[in-house]
Amino acid sequence: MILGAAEVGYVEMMAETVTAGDPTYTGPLAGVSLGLPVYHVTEPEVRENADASVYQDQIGVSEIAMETEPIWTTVRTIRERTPGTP
Amino acid sequence: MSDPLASLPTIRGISCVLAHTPGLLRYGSKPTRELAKDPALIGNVQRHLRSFEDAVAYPENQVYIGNHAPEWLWDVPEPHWRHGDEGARAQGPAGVIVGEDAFWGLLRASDEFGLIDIERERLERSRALLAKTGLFSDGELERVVRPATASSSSEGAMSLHAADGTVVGRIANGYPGDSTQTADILLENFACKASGALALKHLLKQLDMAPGDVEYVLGCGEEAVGDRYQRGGGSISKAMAEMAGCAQATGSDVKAFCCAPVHALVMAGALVQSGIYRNVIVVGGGSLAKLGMKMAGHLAKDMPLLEDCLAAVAILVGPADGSGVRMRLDAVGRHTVGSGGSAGAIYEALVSQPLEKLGLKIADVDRYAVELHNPEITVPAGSGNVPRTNYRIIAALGVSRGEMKREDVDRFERAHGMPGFVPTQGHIPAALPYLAHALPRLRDGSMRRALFIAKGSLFLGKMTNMADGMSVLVDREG
Repeated sequence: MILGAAEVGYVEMMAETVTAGDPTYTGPLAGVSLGLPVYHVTEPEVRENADASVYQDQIGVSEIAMETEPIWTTVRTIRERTPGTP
Repeated sequence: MSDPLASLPTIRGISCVLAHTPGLLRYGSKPTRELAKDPALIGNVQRHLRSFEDAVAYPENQVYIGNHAPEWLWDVPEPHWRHGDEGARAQGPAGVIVGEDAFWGLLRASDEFGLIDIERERLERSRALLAKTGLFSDGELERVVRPATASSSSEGAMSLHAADGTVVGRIANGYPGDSTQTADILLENFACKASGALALKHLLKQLDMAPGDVEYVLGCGEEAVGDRYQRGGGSISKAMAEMAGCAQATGSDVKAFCCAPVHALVMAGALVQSGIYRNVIVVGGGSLAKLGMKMAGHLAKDMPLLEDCLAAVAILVGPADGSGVRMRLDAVGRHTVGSGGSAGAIYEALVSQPLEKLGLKIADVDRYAVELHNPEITVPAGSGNVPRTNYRIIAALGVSRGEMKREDVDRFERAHGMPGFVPTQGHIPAALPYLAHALPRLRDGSMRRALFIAKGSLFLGKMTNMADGMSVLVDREG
């Protein structure tokens, strides 16, 4: 699952939702653990696999606007505790 | 050759009104769907409704009607709903807040077909409360207490509840068997009409303008008025004009989701600049469907249901009036079919391109009004701080264009933006309520330029994957 949201809190909620289950217990994934590996679109693992010009065109300005360090840390933490993640 | 800038229209005023309608919250789209699944949820909903006094004192609502500048919210301790403004008033320089007890009467007065039946005692109380606002004539107040004519046992009639759950009346279906005129849809349309007409009335009073001087009304609300053969093909603007006593006006509706108000403002400006009309009003009525939209997040956090107000705006556009305030129709920003859908591409079209036409840089604009959703409503529901995200993108655009430094991204919201202060009513937060604060500052010279930016989620309608966007600069001459 590749996320693109710009706010760390929102990224964390979505990452939790598709791994352990909806933390707010308000949606259909409440109590459903999908255990999907989660990445943020700005992480090097994703970026290196994208065409550089397409990445710049689609994500370039948004990436400048994001506080990427806390987003990466949050997503990595959730990914590392998800079994089966490469 | 005459100066083309001399013909630019001006914005003569704006009214921003709120109707605090906690009883109607249950008819919002999200509450309706949740209550259908779990009727017992209504108890929890009712326990989290606010009183009229709390809604008036709510800092964001005081900003909306013009009693404080948006920047004042940065100094209010969080959560704002726990820190009501001690000096709060239901009237402000730019608007008014009416309670549900008054709004029942406006709903009744908006109904020409006798479909809404409300207890006589409630309507008498509404009439008294509406009389106190000073906005309505005796004849208009008399319409508040007209009895309904439709049979209260009409097929499909829906009960109307006050905030405490008491049944106060009913609304009947429109044409029998017409799925576009069921009672719930008509209630949305009447709520839009009544709140929009309230904004129109307030604007006329604020500007001391005769209703007969209004020539055209452009509706920019989100309700689909029509019947089974043209669902959404009707218009609510002329109905609002009629309710506000604008006998010389006609009108039509502009639809573009949340982007419609800025489309409508530009069209109003064009109608004035072309000389077709002198006085054009853009009006957006409130959205009943969006009451309680983020309810699940608010209940989970045991906070009041802050989406309990219908918000409406009315804006008068006219020819240059000597104030020096101009709508820069020579540099309108628009997101075209070919613009591209990334955040950078959208803001390139809405910010960089219009500013370039005027030889301006991003930092030359004093304040950017974006989607001004109140973050105290959206953040607890997991939807983020919408204006902040917009400000960071505009600043990032400046960085990518070499106009600004990366560290400016964090500072941009305070330097050129504002906190969100508008209820999550879709089209209403779309930038224009900031006119209530910008117009006085543009007139007194403490502000030079403000850019108003709206975006619309066209893709929600399933006809395209595109978004939409429109922007217009309002500046001070010289």
